[in-house]
Amino acid sequence: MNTIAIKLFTLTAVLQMSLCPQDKERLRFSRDIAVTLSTSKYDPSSLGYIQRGNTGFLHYFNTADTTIDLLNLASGATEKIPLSKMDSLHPATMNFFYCYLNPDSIFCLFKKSKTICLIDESGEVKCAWRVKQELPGGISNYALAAYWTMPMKYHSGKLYLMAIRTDIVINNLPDIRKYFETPQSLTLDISGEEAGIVSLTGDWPGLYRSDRVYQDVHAQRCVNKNGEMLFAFAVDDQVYLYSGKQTQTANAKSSSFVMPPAFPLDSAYNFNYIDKYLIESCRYRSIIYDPYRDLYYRIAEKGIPYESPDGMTVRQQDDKPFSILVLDKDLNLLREQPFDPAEYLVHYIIPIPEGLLVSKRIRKKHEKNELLFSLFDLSE
Amino acid sequence: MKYLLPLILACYMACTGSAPSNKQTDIFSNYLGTEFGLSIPADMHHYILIPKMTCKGCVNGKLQDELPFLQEEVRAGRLTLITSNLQVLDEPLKQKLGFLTDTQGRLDRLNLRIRNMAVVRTKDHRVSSITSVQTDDTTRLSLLIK
Repeated sequence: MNTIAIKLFTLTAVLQMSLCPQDKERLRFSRDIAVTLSTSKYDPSSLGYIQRGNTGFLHYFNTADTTIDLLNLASGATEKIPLSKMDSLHPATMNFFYCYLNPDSIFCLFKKSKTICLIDESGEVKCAWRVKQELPGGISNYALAAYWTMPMKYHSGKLYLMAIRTDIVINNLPDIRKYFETPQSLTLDISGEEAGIVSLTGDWPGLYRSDRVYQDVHAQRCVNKNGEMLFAFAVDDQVYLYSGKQTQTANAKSSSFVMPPAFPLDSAYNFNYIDKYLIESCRYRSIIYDPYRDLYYRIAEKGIPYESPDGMTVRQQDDKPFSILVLDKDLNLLREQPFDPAEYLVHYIIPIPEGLLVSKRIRKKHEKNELLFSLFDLSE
Repeated sequence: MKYLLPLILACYMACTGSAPSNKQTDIFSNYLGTEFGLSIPADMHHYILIPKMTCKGCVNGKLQDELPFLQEEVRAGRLTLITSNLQVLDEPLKQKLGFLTDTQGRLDRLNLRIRNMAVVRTKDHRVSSITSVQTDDTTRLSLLIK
């Protein structure tokens, strides 16, 4: 009798697990991957993944050598793409962004210069565009950028960038209103000799346009395989998919998200207060598209008390627990998986063909160029 | 009888000469000791702290504005500069001022309200004040250090 009961219980449990939507796209730990970058002087926000044939590479901007370095994940060897041939146009600095498409096409952007270059892997400049147009609404004071929440992407002759108004300081209500009335995602048509502005999209949600601020000045955007843009914001549960002129909205709320209070404007220059506010607030950190599985990942951070119980130390960004919300191509929330900050770091969450890389703490003493990832398998 | 215990405690403290404990002193002296093997001196001393969360332009500008004064204070052994963010500092400043570098970033965890930049004044082995220098602060460093 007992055996039958156990078998029935097991069968029911297995059936429930297979039918439960929570277990779809489950992130199952596969293995750890340790890598050593060629230098400790790299721009952390530039780290990404590309696939050439069957070989995977991590790419990053080496600020010491002013090169884009490609780390072969199979062999551990590093290839370098020199950037010196662009010097006549603009020397690469820390404010340098790029989008690695393939060995023949690497788009480079110099912040504030409004100049975009196309180079190949030898560093040879193949084409350059200067954006001369005003933004819609007659805004001429703006800078091009590709912040890590809104990286530079290319799709079908179009380049997806970020436009940031430079005529505004966000410390007074009139300027705050102007800032949040201006979307940040700029799409350029670069199929011709001139770069033309196609659109400026990703309207800030209503809660950002109600004279309140939340220490969030960079929208989050990823681009899917159809060239559609998915937008998210640090304190908004919704995500917004822009496909042409239509916008699809979906709820992508983390189960632990609590709306933070508005940030007091009189503390705009107080870094002590800003730090405390950011640690104690729940935030959505970024939205990432997985081209290998046609999924989206939304990263949510939970707020924690600023001071440690003994009052001797304060918490840091890395101490915040975080979770990954997995959304399918139709923006259905499939799963939310929590990560323990004692083991994992929110710094890098990178889709690769085998699964999802999540950066991990290294216990032993290590150099800054040593990174550790856990690979999570998402296959059925 | 009820005054006896406080009286004994007061007498004990007066006899031993130890200063009453102070949380800021505890945090800072513990940090100096474990990170750099230093202790807070008896003579008045100043520390400029530059953590990871800082405004690069503001901090470099403030240090550059009073470089000769700061160099003289360092030479005289009255000023120590500590940073957990060496990359943010301009190369000439690093060379001329000689920063103690906190490679583990323990500075960033101290509960002392030192974001952006802070000036710690010490005397008699104790922290006597911590002035947090924010990005909109126009006070000259020499006024905070004198």
